[in-house]
Amino acid sequence: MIKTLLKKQFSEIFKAYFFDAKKNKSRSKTSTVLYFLLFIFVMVGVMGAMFGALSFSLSPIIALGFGWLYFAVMVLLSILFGVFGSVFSTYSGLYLAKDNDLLLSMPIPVRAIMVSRLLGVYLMGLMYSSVAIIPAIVVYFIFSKASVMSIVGALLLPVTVSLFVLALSCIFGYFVAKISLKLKNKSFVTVLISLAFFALYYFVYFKASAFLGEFIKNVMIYGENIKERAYVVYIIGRSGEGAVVPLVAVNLVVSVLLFVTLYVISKSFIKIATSTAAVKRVKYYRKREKMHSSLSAVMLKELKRFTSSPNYMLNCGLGIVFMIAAGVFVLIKGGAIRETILPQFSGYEGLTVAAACAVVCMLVSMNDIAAPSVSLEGKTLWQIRSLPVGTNTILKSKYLLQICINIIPALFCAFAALVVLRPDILTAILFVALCTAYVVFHALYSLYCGLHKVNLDWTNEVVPIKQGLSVVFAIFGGWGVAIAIGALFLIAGAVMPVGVYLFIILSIILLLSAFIYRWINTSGVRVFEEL
Amino acid sequence: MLKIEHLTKTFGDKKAVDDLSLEIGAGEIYGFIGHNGAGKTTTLKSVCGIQSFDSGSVTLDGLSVISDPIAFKKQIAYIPDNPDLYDFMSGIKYLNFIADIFKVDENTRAERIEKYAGIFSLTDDLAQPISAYSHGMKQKLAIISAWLHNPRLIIMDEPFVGLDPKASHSLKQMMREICENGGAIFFSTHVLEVAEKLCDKVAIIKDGRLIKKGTMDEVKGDESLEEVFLELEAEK
Repeated sequence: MIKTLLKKQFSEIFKAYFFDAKKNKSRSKTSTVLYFLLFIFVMVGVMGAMFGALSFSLSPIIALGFGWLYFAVMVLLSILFGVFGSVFSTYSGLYLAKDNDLLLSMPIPVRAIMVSRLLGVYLMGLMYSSVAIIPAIVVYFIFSKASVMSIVGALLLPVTVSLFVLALSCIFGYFVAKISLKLKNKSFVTVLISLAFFALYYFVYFKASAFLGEFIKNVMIYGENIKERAYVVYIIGRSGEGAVVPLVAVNLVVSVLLFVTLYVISKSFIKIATSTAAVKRVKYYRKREKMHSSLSAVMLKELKRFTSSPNYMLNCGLGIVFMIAAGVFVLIKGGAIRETILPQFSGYEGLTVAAACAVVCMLVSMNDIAAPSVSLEGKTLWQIRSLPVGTNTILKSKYLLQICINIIPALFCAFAALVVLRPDILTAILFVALCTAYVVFHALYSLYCGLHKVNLDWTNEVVPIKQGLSVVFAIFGGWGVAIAIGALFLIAGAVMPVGVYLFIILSIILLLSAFIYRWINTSGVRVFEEL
Repeated sequence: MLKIEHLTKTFGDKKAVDDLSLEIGAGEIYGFIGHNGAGKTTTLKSVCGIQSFDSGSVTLDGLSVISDPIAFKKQIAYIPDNPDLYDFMSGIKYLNFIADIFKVDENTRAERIEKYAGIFSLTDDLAQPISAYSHGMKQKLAIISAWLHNPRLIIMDEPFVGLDPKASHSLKQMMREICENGGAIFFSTHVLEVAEKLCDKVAIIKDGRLIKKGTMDEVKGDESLEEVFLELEAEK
């Protein structure tokens, strides 16, 4: 039974590598091999190298006799990374699987369903945690002599860590499932939590190097403190070194924790997996509804689509947060920027204006709401096509929404830059005009990409929002244009003042926008009507 | 009222609809029956302007679905076989969206929502997100939205699937009301008993070609519609 379920589970996990959902056919062998190679490159090459470098930077503490501290730090990091990689798959894989009802209706023990589901979670955790812990073990043996027990400890460590990650993921997944059954405004809460995570991530990232330096410098003090106040961490570190008692103790504790967790989850699995009505029942009371024009109605529909999906907001609207954050940062640090950075560009003031313009345009390019909007019509396309709304109006609602959402943060960011840069009035006007024109251009361009790469046959909205080519072209194409705006001034700046340069770029952007606008209203309309 | 002339639609090499001609008059309930894959849905989608077709014409009181699609669509409503509605909206938001598109004024929309949601016992659920609706509730919501702007012609693909007996009965009455007020209904169904009792006229399609059409008496004679259908299906 478990074998059959595992086969099904594996075919789901690796489906994307063997099957092209967009073309609805199997991938060629070359394509499958290339996908696997890309995956290995990202996981082993990029992630592994990152943790390898981190392990090397921590290696001095091994030579100081603090091998246990080295392992403790790397084990904690690999747990963190492993849980990050598998916690969301526990929730969705265990409780939100679409075939839960089907499998539960069959004569299959709940335990077998859970084991097959959790194997996927375990593999994710194993993969993420191994990418961190295996380079750490390799680096350890470069700087330390190998003994039988240290090899045993090193071999057991990835297994112990991955099992602990599985237990933690199950616990987190269990609580996420419990909370989400009660949560209101799920999309906004998810977005807020994700933004908090991003903020924390960037904070840790920027502080990490300073912390590592401090940690290595005072390793003796930190080591003694940890040994005294957090003995568990010491034990974990010692088990990595292969000390017998800590090794047995740590593995025993992890096994018991995992066993208890699986027992609790198996007891509540059916109840949580089959609970559907997450939202509190809201009774309807008749109230007067305001009338809207066709365009407003379709735009409100697009807005509702955007705000109802955390995936859509996070992947196609993150630039809004960055623009506001950049504006606030520039306003707060304006004095320091004027005193320390701008004097470095004395005589090249035009370059700072062009560069600031490029940065604003790059941030605008992160918001490509219109790009997946055509594909997102998906199975509901019949709806808008059967209504008496002109195709021009439907397409207009898509790019107008992107313009409306982008324009205020973009202008705020642009004005903040102007407050610090203080160019002459004409340059300032052109700067604002260019940023505004770019917002319009990028909305039109995003829709252009969306109409060129339509995929209506998706079962998960992440496909058009995150993985579609329209999104890739919209963001990277936008970045290309934004970088060109900044980079071209390096050449043009020698022969013309920045005001003239901005005017020329503004004219080009307006011309391109007019061209795409015309395309959308002619060929774009035809493309949409033939879907 | 609705005139379909020589409608042809191909998918690759396959002719899904082949030279189909039909005329539906005011006050008629017109049933459209055929086996799975016969071309019913393709015909209905082509008629209401969702799908382009290769040749032929579709007009409603002289308005062409090709040359004047907006004016054409203002006169009709379409309910598909599987009501994939905007899951991210609540029921009431969805109905107001449809009312906005058809420019139904505030008072009229409020009256009609109250009336039809009452008929289908959906009033209390209108504030719920559509994603929380059952298949039957979505079907009811799609029906209410179709009736909101008092269309001249309603095109429905398997409208009784998923409806409970009470809702089915209400829908039949509503269909009759539309026809009594000078409108028309064109719908596909596999439930031949319903078609026999409800339809004024019926058309049978097989492999994309219309094989029989006319009033119910003309088509079935002294036999039951089921017998006629099975005989026609058995013929090569």
